[in-house]
Amino acid sequence: MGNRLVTFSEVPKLLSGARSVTLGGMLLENRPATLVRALLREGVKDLFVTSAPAASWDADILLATERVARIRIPHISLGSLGLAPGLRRAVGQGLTIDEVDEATLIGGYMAAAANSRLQVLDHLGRNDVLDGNPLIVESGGLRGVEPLRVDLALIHAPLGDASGNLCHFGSRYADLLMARSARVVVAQVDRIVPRTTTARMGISVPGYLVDAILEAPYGAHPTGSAGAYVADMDHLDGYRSQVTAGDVDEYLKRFCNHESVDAYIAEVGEARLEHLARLAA
Amino acid sequence: MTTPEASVKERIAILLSRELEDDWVACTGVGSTIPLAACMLAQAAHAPSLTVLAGGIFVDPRRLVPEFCAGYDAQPEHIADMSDLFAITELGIDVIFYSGMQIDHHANINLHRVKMSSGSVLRGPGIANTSFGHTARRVFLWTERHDARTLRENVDFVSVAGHRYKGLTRQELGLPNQGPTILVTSEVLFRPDHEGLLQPVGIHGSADWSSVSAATGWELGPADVPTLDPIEDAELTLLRKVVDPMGMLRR
Repeated sequence: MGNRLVTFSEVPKLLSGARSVTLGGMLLENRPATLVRALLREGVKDLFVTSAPAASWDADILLATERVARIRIPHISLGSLGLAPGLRRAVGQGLTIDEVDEATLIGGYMAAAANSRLQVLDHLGRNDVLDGNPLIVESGGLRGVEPLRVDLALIHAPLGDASGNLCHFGSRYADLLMARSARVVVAQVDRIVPRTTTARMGISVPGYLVDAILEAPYGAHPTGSAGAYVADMDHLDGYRSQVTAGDVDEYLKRFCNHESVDAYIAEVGEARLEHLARLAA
Repeated sequence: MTTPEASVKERIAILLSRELEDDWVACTGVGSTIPLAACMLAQAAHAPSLTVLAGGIFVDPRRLVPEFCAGYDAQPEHIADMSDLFAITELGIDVIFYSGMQIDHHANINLHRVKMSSGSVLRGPGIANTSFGHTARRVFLWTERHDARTLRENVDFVSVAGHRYKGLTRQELGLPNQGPTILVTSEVLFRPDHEGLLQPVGIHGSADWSSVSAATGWELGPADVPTLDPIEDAELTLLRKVVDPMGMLRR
């Protein structure tokens, strides 16, 4: 397998031109925060953003900075901290929300991953999410959803190798389905390890689905990385306060404009990150 | 009659745990510490073969953690992924726990859009999985609050249908399961009557009836609702020592 390892400075060209992106992980875990910060620096606009069924800081910072035209994520929050401030702000500014739930979202990835025209959903219920939902289509007497394909999948895993193989210590959530549904897959990992190590630990997303892999220690911060460090709830609380107060530019300036992963780590503080790592044990 | 030192969260967890039966498969939401504690307490107390899908992904966690899906190790026996969750959602389980920004008299819940008194609309977090509302055999509702903003005659948006949606019963809607069978708030335990309307069947909080009635968005009727069996010392001890040694339900 080829070498898919890229440097921090090589990431922007991988992201440029993407109009639709899916974000890996789930809620406050394994979110591709380093790559999202790179996306922000690229100045992308009018994105279609999707994810696993629950997202947090990663989708919210894109919303808070008005980079998103349309979103398809069933749940966005900051976990126990409550409502996501960027989403609240974006709703009043013309954001289009595709209402979906787990079945209608994951069904789309499954159709894309299998290159099918339709993922049949035989057990759709009745509620204001599903009734009259234009994403639910009928074909041959069956109801379901069409494939959800995106330009770009951004995925975080704790470990990976230079060939792009990823290892998740916890759940891989929808990462494998997303990797199969995207034209380009860029992964970030806390640590690059030898291929013999990923093979021994069990590969959760195979390298042939990954176009590029970046080593980014603490790369999911301020969210957590299963098996490595927990989400930084104090940071997220500060983020919430700043966005709510209309200071998102200040937040961006301080936390999203670094020219290296090391510079971001220095900004957050190694001692703080090591504390978050101890809490994951 | 309630053990004075039990917190609201502990009382709700204990009341929900009493409803869970052995050999069931139960699913909790990703941020649902109270239902997860209820399941773990039931496993420790009377339902050792209850299977818990925390967040639908983490099977039988042995540790209550401050945040789910946040990097903490809940020490589950097995970890699934979204393909597994899709399958189990379609196949069905025994019980799903839901809460809501609004819960109405028909047991509909809303986690999407709330009309504010100012006329604006508050966007809620949304809900990851609505399908369990009809593929699970039953639904347990809970909320840490008991106020008229939460408990409404009608919700502003139906995220998961209760016993009447758009004027139709669950049977008329073609929803095959029991739907919500219980609602536990910080003060009262409700169950649906034969028309699917939530009715108070027991009090477990400290508020007097007039306060409870004023804090409910539908007519509760006369103050003849019994006090529930008190929280037993053994239940609280088990909850604190085995399920929640870090005291998360007391914060």
